[in-house]
Amino acid sequence: MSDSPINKYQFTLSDESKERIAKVLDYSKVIAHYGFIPFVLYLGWSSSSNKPSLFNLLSPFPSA
Amino acid sequence: MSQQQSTPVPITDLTKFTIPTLPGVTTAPPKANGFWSSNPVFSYLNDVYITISEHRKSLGLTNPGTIENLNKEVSRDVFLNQYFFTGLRADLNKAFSMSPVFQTSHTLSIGSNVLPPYAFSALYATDDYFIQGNIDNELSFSGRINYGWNKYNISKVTLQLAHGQPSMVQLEQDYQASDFSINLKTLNPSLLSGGFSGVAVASLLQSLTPKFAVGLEAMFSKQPGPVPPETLVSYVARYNAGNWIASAQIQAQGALVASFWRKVSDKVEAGVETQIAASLKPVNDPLLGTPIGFETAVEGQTTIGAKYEYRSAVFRGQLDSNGKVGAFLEKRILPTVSILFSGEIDQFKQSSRLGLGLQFEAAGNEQLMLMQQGLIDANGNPVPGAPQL
Repeated sequence: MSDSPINKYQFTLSDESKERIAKVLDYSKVIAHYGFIPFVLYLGWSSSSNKPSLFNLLSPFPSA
Repeated sequence: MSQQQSTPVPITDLTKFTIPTLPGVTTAPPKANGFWSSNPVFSYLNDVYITISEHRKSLGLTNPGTIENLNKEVSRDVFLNQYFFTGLRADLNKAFSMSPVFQTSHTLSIGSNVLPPYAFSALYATDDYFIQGNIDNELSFSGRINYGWNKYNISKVTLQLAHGQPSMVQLEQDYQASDFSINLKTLNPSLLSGGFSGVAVASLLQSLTPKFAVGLEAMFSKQPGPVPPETLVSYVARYNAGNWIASAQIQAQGALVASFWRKVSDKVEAGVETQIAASLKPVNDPLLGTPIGFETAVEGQTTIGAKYEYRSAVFRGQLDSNGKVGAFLEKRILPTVSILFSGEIDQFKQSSRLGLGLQFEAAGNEQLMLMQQGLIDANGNPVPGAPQL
């Protein structure tokens, strides 16, 4: 397959490194899935003036 | 980190030092007849470049916006598409800070096919960044990060992850220059399966006169595996005359979309959009019922709509050629509470859909709470005419 002229310029990866990349992508998906919202909340928490508590951050009711 | 005594300026950063500029000590500016500008090829190219850029400046062109927003005024501002919902819903928004903007939102919904029963979203935005995340009760996640490098360049990343569904990632780069816009985006790009697979879209919108712009959008998509790639090209045009905008798109699949928007008065906007799509339909033998060929079928739909903006309410109404009448009303009944009503009647199919919603604005601190109730303005000063605190 790799000696056909079409594949001459495609970069080829061994199955092992393909598997490794797929695994890294899977892990980063899980991190993004569960870490993104806590990350946004942390960014907002650290920039707000009165540093609301976790309960205040998550409750929908006014907390002033 | 704060415990450490930080030096005010790192020694290596020489640009931060103020060096007094003495006459004769400053470095000489590049000479006008140096090698790069004096050789005949480069001086000719420089002259051509300067002539073209001066001519472009003299045309007085402005940025035409993006292809994505080509008919935004009609399809997103006036029509109901973005706003329509069914069933009951409640939005509980809570603002914690205004600069940078930080707010959370809880959305509850019943009786809707589209909205999840519960969703939580958090938004954080500064001058450069816009970060938003949304997660619902089934842990379907969508996130978006926009970063503005400068006023011309914006990078965008969109992620969608859900259990048991293929994940989606979209990378996008927007370049908006003085008289044209370029947008490059790619959906689920991958180089693992032998070459590129995924979807790549490139679009260009160029102003030709201060009001008229034309553009095209090219799409390339390749599924992994031995499937031939597909390419599609669409052409667009837009005329913006200030209080009215006309736009047209010829899409690669054989569809034509034309729209017209007009600001009728200060508070009233109206829009009309026509879609004509040609498609191939199989023709069956009338006796045997076996397919004998194809015929082109042309289908069209026209929608007309209007938007009225009142002091504390927004009303949108639309009527389309398939017999659907729709209305959407958003009314602020208290400074922190608004009600939403949406309804649609399909006259031809004798069916209707209805939606009712409530929106609450809450605050995470006292100053924002007073601001939301209209007692103080963004700088913390009392609003004239408001009751005394």
